[in-house]
Amino acid sequence: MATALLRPQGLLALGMIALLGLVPSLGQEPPSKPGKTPTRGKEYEVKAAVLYKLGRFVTWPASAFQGSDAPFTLASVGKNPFDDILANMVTGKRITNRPPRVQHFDGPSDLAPCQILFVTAEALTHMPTLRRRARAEHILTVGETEDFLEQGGMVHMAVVDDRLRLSINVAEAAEADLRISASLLRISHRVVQETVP
Amino acid sequence: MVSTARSLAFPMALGMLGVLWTVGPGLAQTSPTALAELSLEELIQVEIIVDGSMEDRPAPPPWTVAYRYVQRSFDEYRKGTDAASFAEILDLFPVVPTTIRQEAHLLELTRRTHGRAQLSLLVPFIRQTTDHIRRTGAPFTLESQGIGAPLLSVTARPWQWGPQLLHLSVGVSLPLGSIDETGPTPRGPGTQLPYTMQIGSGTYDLETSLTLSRRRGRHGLGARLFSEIHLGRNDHDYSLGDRWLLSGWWRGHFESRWQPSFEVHVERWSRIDGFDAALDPNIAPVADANFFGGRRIDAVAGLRYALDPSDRHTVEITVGVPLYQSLHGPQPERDWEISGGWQLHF
Repeated sequence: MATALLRPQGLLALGMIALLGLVPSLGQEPPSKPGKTPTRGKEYEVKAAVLYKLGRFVTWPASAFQGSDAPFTLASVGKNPFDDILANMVTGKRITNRPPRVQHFDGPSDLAPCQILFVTAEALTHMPTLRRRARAEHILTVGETEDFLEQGGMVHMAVVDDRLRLSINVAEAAEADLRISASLLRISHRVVQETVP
Repeated sequence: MVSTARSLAFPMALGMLGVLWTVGPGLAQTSPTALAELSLEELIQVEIIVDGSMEDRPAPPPWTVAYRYVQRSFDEYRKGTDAASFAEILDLFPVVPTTIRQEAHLLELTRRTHGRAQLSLLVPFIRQTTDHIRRTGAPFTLESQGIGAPLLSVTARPWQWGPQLLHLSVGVSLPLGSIDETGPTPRGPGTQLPYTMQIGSGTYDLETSLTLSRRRGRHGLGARLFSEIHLGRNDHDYSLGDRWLLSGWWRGHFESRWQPSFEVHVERWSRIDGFDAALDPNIAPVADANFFGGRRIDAVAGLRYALDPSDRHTVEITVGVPLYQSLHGPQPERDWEISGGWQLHF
């Protein structure tokens, strides 16, 4: 079944493919669209910015705060992936008209009141405890491990095809008296409407 | 000359794209302060650079294995856009295939390389059954089956701007599918089966596709231009017609793991170049190299289900029916196509 001579268009097509420069370009970064919108960022810088922005898309009950002047607390539990990124990012800003505060906790035992809690992979073993605390204290839990929503988390951040993909469990958030805005649901990859056992 | 120019248009466009890609400028990295000024919608479009301090972060799965079953049925005849009855065809040929069923089991293994390019190997197993009637004598059925042409392909790292993704894929299928299938035809036992019953093309085939997709909220849109160019003639001194396919689709990403989709395919394929001297073109229309090629528009509805929350393990079914067919004929027309697939990233 060896092929006979190539037809002219076959030869030319092969030539054009050779000219593609495909192989040397495979490992290169693609060009960006010029414009004002930045298009690249380090993973945990982007995730920190998303944590900061999430406050605008969630409504907390008044009882989630210790007073009308209480700060809006962004926290992480487990191995801190953000270093000082999150703290530097929110300096001088406000979240839901409150001054932001950034805290890190090693585990659930030293968890203090907060509004958004980033649960790292190291802290996932404490998820049942964190979930109880989140429901009782109106904490929006955010995680990055693959089965975070299945563990009872509320917001999942995954990196897929070099982009951040959000999935939301609105039912779990509702258990904590948290209301997720429709605009956040609209840009989310997946919205789960049921809590897990 | 005109057809040659048309055949060259797509590879030339791809060539220019490749050159553009190669010489394109790099991206500037964004500072954390600038990231904080972006909207959430803009943030989820930012290209992520894996943080060096998180080397223990799980890497994206490098392998993908996929299986797909496809069945097509061809029934009745068309000449141009006009239907032609079996009786009309029997006036022209002593033997007429009435129903052609093609089944393909497709197994594909994909490896993601450094730089996010992908290398794939697809191996098909093909089975074909054709029912016939003839002017005199009893109806009969012919079957053929075997491993088809393996396809080796490379998909370049996606070119992305905003929510749009552009994928370029180039592949070559190897001439390992049989073109020597024989059977008990009216001409005698062990005679060469017609073109439609052969398992492969017998030629190296260049398959190129350019896919543009866009995801916005719960709606995904995409378009793909695909070409299959047969390089040279096979050992029986013919080449199947080149094929061009333009498709567009919508896919819903709703509140569950179910993802419905709807596609429209516009396909054009050309006549067979040359002919198989072992066939008698006067016996049946599918043995005449002139009665191949045409244009068709298909509508395809699909439903995908994610077996895990991260979309790494999915199953999908599709059903397609032709909306329009114009065939160089008389030629069997496609009746329907169904497929079922399974895919796992690991």
